[in-house]
Amino acid sequence: MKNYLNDETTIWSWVATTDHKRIGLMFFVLTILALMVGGTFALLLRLEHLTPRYTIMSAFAYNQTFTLHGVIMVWFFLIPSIPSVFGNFFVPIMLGAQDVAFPRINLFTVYLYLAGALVVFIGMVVGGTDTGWTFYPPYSAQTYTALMPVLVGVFILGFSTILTGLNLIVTIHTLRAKGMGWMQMPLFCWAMYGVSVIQVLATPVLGMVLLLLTIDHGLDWGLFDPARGGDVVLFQHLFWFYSHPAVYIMILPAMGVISEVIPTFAHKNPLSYRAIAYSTFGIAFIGFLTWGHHMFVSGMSTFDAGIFGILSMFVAVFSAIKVFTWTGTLYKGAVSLKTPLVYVFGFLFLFVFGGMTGVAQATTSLDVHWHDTYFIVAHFHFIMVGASLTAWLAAVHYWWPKMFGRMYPEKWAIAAAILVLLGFVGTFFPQFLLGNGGMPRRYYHYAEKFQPLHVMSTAGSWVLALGLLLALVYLLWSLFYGERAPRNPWGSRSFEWSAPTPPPKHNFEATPVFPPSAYDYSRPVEF
Amino acid sequence: MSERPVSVWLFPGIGAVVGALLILSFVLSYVEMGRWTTWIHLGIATVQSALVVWFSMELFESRFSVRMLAIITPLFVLLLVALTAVDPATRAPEEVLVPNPTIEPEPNIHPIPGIAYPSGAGGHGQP
Amino acid sequence: MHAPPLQHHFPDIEQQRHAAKLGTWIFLSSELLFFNALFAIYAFYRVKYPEMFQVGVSHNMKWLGTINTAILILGSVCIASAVNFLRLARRGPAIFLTLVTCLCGIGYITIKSIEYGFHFDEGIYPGGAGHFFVEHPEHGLKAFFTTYFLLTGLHMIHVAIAVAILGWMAWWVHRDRIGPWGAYRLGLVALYWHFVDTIWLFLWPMFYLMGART
Repeated sequence: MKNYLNDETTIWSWVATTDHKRIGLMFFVLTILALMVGGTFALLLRLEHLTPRYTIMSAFAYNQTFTLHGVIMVWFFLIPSIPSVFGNFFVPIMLGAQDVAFPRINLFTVYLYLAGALVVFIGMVVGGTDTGWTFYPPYSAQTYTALMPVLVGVFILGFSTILTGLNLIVTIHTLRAKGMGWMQMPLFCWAMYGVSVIQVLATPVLGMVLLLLTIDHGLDWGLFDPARGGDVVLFQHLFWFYSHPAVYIMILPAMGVISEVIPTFAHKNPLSYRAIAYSTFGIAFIGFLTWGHHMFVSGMSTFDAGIFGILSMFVAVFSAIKVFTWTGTLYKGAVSLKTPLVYVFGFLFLFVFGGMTGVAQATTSLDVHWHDTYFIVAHFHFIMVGASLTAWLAAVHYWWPKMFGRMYPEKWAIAAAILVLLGFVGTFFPQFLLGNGGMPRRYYHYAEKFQPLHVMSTAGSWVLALGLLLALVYLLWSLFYGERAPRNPWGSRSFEWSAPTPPPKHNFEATPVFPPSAYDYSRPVEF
Repeated sequence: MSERPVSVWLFPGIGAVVGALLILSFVLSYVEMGRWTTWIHLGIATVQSALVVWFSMELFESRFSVRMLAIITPLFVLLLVALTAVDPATRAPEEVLVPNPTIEPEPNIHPIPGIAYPSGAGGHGQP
Repeated sequence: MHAPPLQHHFPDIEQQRHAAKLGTWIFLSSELLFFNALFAIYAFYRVKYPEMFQVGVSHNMKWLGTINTAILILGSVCIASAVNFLRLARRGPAIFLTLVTCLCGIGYITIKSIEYGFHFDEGIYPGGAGHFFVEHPEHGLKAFFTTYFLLTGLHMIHVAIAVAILGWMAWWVHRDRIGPWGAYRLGLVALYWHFVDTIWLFLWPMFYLMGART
């Protein structure tokens, strides 16, 4: 049967496609490649930390490795992993549209990603940079490493992010099916809308910051050079004004996935649709007000630090609203424990755990001790990996049947999920203890007493890597040998399942007429 | 949202008002206004921009979503500018720093975290 | 005169045009946030070096800055009127006024370049380079002028882009004999000019008026 995959099979039909599904698929492949590269760097870092001194790389190489690990994972994997893949693929279908608002701009975002990735790759090849993914001056203005390609590559990628956000916002505003109001669209669309607002408003500031660093590094304008009246704390203000909302770019889409998976596998409508929809904006908004909590010990005024500490606490309120709503949705639902839901359970536990450590760190008096230790590293990995990556894996498994028309092998998937979740905890829980015990981050040498925990963490990383590798293998296998998927294998009421599996080029055979709610499990499934 | 043409005198009229505010701001720059200087000049600029945005950028005939955007975005400008400027405004005054004696580590020994520098070097022996 | 093609995924032309307008505004918002970082830099350094910023502001040529502001405002009036004339199906005035706007932009760039020339003559270069900073070694002055060059330089690049796009639009209206249906497209491009004008309405007091000595 003709679908978006086999509709046209020439290379040109892919290279020049304006089909949002093909574009989503291309981003899928690219982000997985980025995950593998960034993950390899992570494994190398963990190998290095098996012993307190030299293990496999020099201190300089170590600095470059953690820098590139951060750059690639944040910008080339996490940020596009859900919006550019599943957002592109499913938002039009969920809205009953044939495509996104600006299909050609959508194609352009793929090439921007590629161009940015290529430039960063060139930077990697000529030696990479050793400033950390945060590029703080004065060191970044002075380092002799290949900082420029990395800055320029990320700058280019920033435009891909902005345009994706722009496209999704306009799509949601203008292409909803007739009769579909804001409060009828699937919750994933709300998450995509929220994340797109952040992408559009925050990423330009990053672009400017990178441009300024490029000018400083290349033309020696000394904008942040204290000898010329500059202030390095100002750089941090500008950098974190983007990078804190960036972490919400990384978590809001994950939350959107959770909001879809839970009702489906609990066969129950969400406890409160509005709570989830509005709290998305609560998080998006408050996320902009909190950047100074990365700078408590930077030399910023204590007054400003106090303001940021208080504001940072508020974001937890909206996250809590979501967690309670999700849990309330699961309660007394007819739960079927499939792989996506296993990942969701992992998400709920790890997100709450990691999130609470976040609230603790928002307290200046505690962060003074934890800042720049492994405690912080553990916290953000709990959220970025334990929550975001886990939700991404849930999304991959949840939507795999719709995207490819094949089922993945359930038993292998559950096994991989267990490996991933256990491996994750094994990798990062010891890091909380390390950080609390005083182990600084980004340190090549460490005191002997930290070695046992480091070894545990490294062992955990191997289990995590094994789980991910296993997932890759059976997913690829399923593309050729997996059981053919029905239109709606999960019995979901959400609108994307009404499209054929896999969807045809224009998504629907006829103009879709959706039921009034995407979550009404009291009625029999219509598609 | 079919745009109907407006009077040909609207935009020159708006331009005249913005121009008058230009002259006002220019003249006021010669007047000693103390603490209010910044706010008055920026206030005039805000009024000028509001006129340009509302009329010349056709906000008066745009939909709610566009209007929301035009209101929200400047608020973000305000947010970054305000919270960034609060930092130097509320720092303790910079005292004249007494230069720290430079710590000379022993050659060929890597400083080890958790252990003070070898004695014989100046400074505070911080880990 | 031909009507614009309706793209297959839009239900009607109204929705398509609204999408284009919303998309343009979102793009302009991202541009404003792009400048936002620079406004923050200015605010930060101004709070840190209040006296030196006032010295710097006084040093700039107020008359030139004000004339430039007036030119941009004139351009705004012209392009807005051009869009209106196109809605009235009066292509001649529309094209003429669009070209006048381009001239305003070119005039702005010329005056700005002359101003930069004066700065360079005095030994004021970005990055605290130049003999001016040897004679006046205060840190705040270096910060002021680097910020000045950054902000006005980036703004000038945007004016140049606006001139180029508007010039192309004037050609498009002429070549394709565009009628009222095309006015909205000229309007979208005009938004870019107005945006650039609005940014300058703030840069002008920031660098020429606030704290200038009487």
